[in-house]
Amino acid sequence: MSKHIVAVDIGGTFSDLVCLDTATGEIRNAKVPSTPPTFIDGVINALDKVGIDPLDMLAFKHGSTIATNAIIERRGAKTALVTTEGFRDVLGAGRADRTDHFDLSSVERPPLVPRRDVLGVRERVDYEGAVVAPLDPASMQRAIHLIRRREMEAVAVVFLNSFMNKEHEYRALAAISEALPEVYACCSYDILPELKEFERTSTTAVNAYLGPIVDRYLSSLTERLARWGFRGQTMIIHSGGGVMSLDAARRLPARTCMSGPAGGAVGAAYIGRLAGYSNLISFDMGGTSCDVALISGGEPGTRPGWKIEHKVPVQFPAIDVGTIGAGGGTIAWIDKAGALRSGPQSAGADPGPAAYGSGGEEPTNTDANLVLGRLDPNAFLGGEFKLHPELAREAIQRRVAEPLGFSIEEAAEGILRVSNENMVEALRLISVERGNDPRDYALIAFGGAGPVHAAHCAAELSIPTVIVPRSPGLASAFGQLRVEIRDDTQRPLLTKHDDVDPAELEAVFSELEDEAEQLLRREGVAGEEVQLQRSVDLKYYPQTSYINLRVPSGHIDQAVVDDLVSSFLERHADEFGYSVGLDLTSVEFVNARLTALAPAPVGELVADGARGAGADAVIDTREVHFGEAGGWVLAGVYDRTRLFQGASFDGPAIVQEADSTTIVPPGAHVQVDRYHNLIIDVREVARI
Amino acid sequence: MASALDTIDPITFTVLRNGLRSICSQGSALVERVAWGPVITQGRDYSVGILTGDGRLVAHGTVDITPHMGTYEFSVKAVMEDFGDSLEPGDVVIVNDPYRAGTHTQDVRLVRPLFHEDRIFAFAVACAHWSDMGGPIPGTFNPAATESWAEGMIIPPMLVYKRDVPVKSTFEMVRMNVRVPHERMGDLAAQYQATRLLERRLGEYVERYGSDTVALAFEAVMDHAERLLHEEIAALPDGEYVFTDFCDHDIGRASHPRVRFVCRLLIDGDQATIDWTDSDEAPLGPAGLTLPALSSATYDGTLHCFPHLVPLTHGIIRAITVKTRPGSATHVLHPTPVAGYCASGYEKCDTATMGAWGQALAAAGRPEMIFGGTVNLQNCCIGGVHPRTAQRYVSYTWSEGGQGARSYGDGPSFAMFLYGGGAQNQPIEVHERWYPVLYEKFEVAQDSAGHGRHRGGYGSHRRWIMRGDAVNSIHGDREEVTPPGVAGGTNGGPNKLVLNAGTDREENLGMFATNVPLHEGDSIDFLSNGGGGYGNPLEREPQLVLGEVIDGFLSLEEARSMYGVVIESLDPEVHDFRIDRSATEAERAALAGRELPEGYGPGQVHPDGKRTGELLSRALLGHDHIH
Repeated sequence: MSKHIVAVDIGGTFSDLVCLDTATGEIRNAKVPSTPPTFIDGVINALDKVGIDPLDMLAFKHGSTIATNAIIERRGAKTALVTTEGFRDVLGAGRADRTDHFDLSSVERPPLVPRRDVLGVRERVDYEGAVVAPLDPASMQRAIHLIRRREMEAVAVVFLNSFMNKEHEYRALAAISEALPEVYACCSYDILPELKEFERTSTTAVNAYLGPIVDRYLSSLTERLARWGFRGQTMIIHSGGGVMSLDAARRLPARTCMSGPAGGAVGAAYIGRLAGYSNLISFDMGGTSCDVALISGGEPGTRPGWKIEHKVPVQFPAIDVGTIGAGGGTIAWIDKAGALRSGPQSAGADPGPAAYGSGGEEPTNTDANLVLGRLDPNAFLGGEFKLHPELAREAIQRRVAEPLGFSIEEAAEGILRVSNENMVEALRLISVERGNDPRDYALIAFGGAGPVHAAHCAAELSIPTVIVPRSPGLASAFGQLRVEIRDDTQRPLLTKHDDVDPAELEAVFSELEDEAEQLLRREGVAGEEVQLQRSVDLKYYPQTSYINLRVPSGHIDQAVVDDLVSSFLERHADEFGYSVGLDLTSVEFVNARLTALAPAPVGELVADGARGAGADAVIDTREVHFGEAGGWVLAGVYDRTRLFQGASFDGPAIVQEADSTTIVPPGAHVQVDRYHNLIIDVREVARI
Repeated sequence: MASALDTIDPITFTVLRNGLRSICSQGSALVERVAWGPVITQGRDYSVGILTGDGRLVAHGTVDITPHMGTYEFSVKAVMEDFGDSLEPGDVVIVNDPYRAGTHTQDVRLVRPLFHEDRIFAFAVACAHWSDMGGPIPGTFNPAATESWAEGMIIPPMLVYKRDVPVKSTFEMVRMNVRVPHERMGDLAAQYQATRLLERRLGEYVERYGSDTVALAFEAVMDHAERLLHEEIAALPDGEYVFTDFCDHDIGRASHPRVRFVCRLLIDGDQATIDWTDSDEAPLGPAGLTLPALSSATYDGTLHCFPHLVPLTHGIIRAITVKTRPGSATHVLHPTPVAGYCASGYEKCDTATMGAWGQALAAAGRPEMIFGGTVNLQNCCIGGVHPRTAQRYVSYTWSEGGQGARSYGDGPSFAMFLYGGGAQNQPIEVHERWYPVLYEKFEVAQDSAGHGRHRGGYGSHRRWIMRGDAVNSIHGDREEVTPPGVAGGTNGGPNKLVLNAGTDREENLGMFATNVPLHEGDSIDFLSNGGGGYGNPLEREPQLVLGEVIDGFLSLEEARSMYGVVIESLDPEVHDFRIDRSATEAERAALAGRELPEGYGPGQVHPDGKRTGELLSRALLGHDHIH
């Protein structure tokens, strides 16, 4: 009887597996070492470790860093780019910006397609979509000839202004596919029909570059799973916080990048909703980086694109996750003028923090937490991994305390304060700076290091509540369990508000909807299960950034168009402090967007009804240093596995579990809810 | 007296130091997001800063354009001189006076005093380049100007908001004197909002930490940068280091002479003086720069060599003595025109400052922060009435090009100007939507890089066809005196603007064309500088030369003549090119000891850049002392 849903998040170091029994709500999990280059071995190891019967498995959801890593390590397919003659360097040029306004020392990375394999074809369409020069068959044949002779594995086709007229791209793509059926080929109109040639070219090139390797990976994954005995549905997580079918993943492999953080935000939204919170900031902190995302009204925010590298943007709608270089391994250092700094360098996993005893000599956040008694040297990662407090002390003493003339505790507190300030800035950017008052939000903390830093960061921003889910180190994989089918498509509008014809706008959306429904039907989703959301991007005509607005369901008439324009003016005034009268300028309708949502098996967390008192979970007390309490104070140490609904206790306290530690500072009050979440009231925690 | 840096709690210091930068960056992000001019929203020609209550610079945004930054103190000084105690909370002053307060008229600043308990505690400045400030030429750049009255409207410090209420007369004056005024109102609104954001955020810090602590942090931020810079200076050998650069022409004079900028860097212990007084007299045309702009250029060039010292603060400003002569090219006075300052004098002073520091670093045996010259801005403006919309338009654009080579590698191609690191190019598809042009080309300009053991970045080549009548002006530079090579590397390729290339109506418009009529169907070829090379081209790894030939960036001929690398083309369809080893050996042997011609043009070796190489060789051989 099929009843389990399994999600696997493959990272560079570890693969996390979470298995949910949809009948009982029971969760099993496994953390196993990743097994590059054949990551699938690790997946099978993890499946064996949790011991599920393949025939009991309903669905397998899967996110991985394979696509992202292939880009970063330049291990993708040998790819050609076919583009408008005369424009062979659009991809290499990028937007020409540096990462820093003074520093000239950055070293460029090669583009995904080297200039020699960018093939110009004679054709030209103007900004209105009119053909200025027809697609020249001879130059097209020449390109195909070169692709064949060079044994390219993938081709991206991108012509200027193709979002206004797809004919040339479609004809070129058809010619390539006909002549070279074994070559992976895609064109920009199918990937991203949107203004701005570089971003469109980059996204299409990423897609082609990943096409063959993602295809091979998925084939071997499904084959191995089938051999293992799995007969259910395999779904792939994408950056938009949804899953897609294997076919869709093969068509849009670029969407599989960034799936992990997206899944984490979706999981955070779900856990928060069960706990009764719909406005959340997710705070996922691991060893080297920290991902933050804003969730309003139960929905994680989205953004129109992101960058894998400085010159490799991917312009797909994605869960809006901000990443900063702050994690347990982030290094603290003193600059030449004697100021204490934190990061962005990280000790990573090797050598890791000084306390790992693997040769790291520089003090990290983990070392500071250990020195202050906030981490237990014998309980790190469930005790499988011993920490060496004396090495942490030595590193902090030598690198920070001595140069600053501080006591070792002052130095460790200082390291955490400087590091927390960086995280607080990241939180501020997605909240305050976008007009969201942190006091209306709860911080949901996960990842190995998130619960260690969450309470102090929340207090600093006046966020009243911190939620720490069960097994916070596996919350990202858990989030992937919750992800449903989501398909995002778009069409350019590029029309001033006075010129918008409601009937035409309706026709654009109808076409997008028909396509989405057909696509999902082919993937086995019944039409009535599909939920369609229309939206439009609007901006003042001269601007280059837009605001996305939901279009109400129902037939679009002039009143709907007028309402959209006035909502835009209001939103602009709310977010940016002003709006300008329409007598001075126009509002431009930039893109029509359609999001098709369909249910996928997700399962639900089930409250098990267990109850308990906080005192039952106390396993120890120890001295922990909190600067705000004036120094060393006695704190209760709680075993997370023994904390059930009804338990409550006050800080200072430490909650330990296999994959993380939660710090409860003085002044904080913890209550455990029926899903075993720690709900921490941090309103009385001192800002330091 | 103990320095603030020694007094302040070091943790609070770092929190506030980062915090002040962060709130400036948030102000910048707001300007970029909501301003209207594409130069601002795409080109990032804006900046946001915080100054102390007495007008000393404390912080600026992290991607902001750098020519603004050294001028903030002048802007705030002008505001204080004119308004003094009459300023109230919610007042915002607009100013663009290039001579007293700024750079050129297009860089419009909004200055807001931030109050704490009835006294001015700090200033917020938001500055942005407006696409037009009026005057005879769309875009306001006027290469033919010989007086500032031909360069748009100068705004002295004037209230634009009084207690956060718009001052109608100021708005109306601006509206009546600029082209496309509604766009400028969008820009102004964005800047105004940025100053409000800074007021709010700094207020939060004051509330949280107390005004005394924030004021102490201001001082400590300056002390910190100052201390670091003095340490850097002390590590360089004492001596005088000179780097000279030129603008191609002063077109205000009939003979169109070069304009010389001489940067004389004196290092004495931990003190540094940068002396510009050997530079030429003020030009008659717009090739010089004002004192505020010179200050920016000097600190800009300095921070490119010491980028870990950012942000620019008053600590850096007071750590270096800058000498200049009023009435000279580096300190022009009203009414000498300056609209094109950035492409002309600023760029040269920035480059010469880097060159002088480069020599001192070479003398210390430290090549890492020595750079070849980088692409020079070209302010290309096309204006007219769009044939499809019947709307008046001004297109202000520039082209990215090559960055200078470094001691450890090639300079990047498709790079922005020295001072526009955060700036972006304007997408072709956006350009074609807004203006009546049809592009035919956007690719690397073959063979345009300065050569060397490490080459400079390549210049780029844009070509478009006009789809309507218009007028074209450009204020650029470095068609003749190109980005300098260093240590034996050659100078980069030229900036060029050519009308109807390849036809019998071909005309080289040069870098100073003014109101050239363009007709439907005319073509424009717009080429940008390659970056300067580093080291002897004959020492370049042949494999790298081969790669660039295969990519089409470098011609077979140039590979042979410049690098002595002989390459056979066997089957180009499958990239089968091979290095002829024995022919290459023979060619390199024949070229060994070649003295490339000294000079300032493409393919030549810049004399001061060559001296940098000599200083470096001597230092690396163990002779630490010069003279």
